Amino acid sequence: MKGQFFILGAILLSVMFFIGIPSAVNLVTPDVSDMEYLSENMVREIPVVINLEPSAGTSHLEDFSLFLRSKMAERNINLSIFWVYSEPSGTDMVLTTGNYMGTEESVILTLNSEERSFTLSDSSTNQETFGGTGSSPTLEVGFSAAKKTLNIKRDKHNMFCYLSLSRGNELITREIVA
Amino acid sequence: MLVLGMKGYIHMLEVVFAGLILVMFLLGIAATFNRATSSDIGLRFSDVLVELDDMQILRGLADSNDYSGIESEISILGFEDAVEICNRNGNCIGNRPGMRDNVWVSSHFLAGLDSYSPREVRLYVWRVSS
Repeated sequence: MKGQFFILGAILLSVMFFIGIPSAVNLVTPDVSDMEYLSENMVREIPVVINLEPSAGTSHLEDFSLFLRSKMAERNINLSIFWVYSEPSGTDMVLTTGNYMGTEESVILTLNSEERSFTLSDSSTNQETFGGTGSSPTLEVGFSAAKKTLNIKRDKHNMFCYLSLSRGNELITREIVA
Repeated sequence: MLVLGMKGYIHMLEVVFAGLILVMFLLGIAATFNRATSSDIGLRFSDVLVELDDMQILRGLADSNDYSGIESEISILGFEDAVEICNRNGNCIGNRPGMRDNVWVSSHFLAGLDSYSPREVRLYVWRVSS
């Protein structure tokens, strides 16, 4: 009778092994989602919006942020975008901040040592003008998700953009400096 | 003699079971590690659009809503494809596959060519039916 027990034991172990495979597979080869690709697409394309028509200011960037957010929502992806765009205005610098994070944001902008703080509701922008900045000022951007220090050029257009894509347990964050 | 004969049959049964277990194990392992997930395949098709964009082909064709031009640039062995171009307002032009199983869709977003004119290029890919 010993042999039969070995057979039954072997069958039982095999069944347990095959039942266990699906859960082990997720640990070894996790499914790759489309989020990585889509975030890469945005990192490439958002600076293009600015370069296409710099004279348009941030109007296209605002529209593109809303466009991407609606397209990601179709894929059940929650896209949060936050950006700061600077452009020269005579000897001054105009900094426009766009909040598309889905919530109200407390923002602190520090250009050299001059600090401005304000609250920005979702899907809205704020404009701040800084004077006497020098040719290569240091910009510090602070909001709920990140704090970033950038060396920018006063006589050109500069942009910092933060992206966050989330769906279920997946989360991808990206930063663009252009 | 009878007992000895029975033992032989039981040993044979054991061998058969052992063989079956071994084959099942090997098939299970092969199926697990050689299976490409549908999302993996979709990602590879996305690379086609990125490549066309890198070659400065996609942007111009998308801007002029030339979906057939994009389709003519794409050739994937063993697969058929269709391209649809959607504008900012969600109005789409192009081809969509009919009702069928296993259609992978990849999207590529573009800001515009010479001026701001956002587009979504959708690539639908499915296996050639045998």
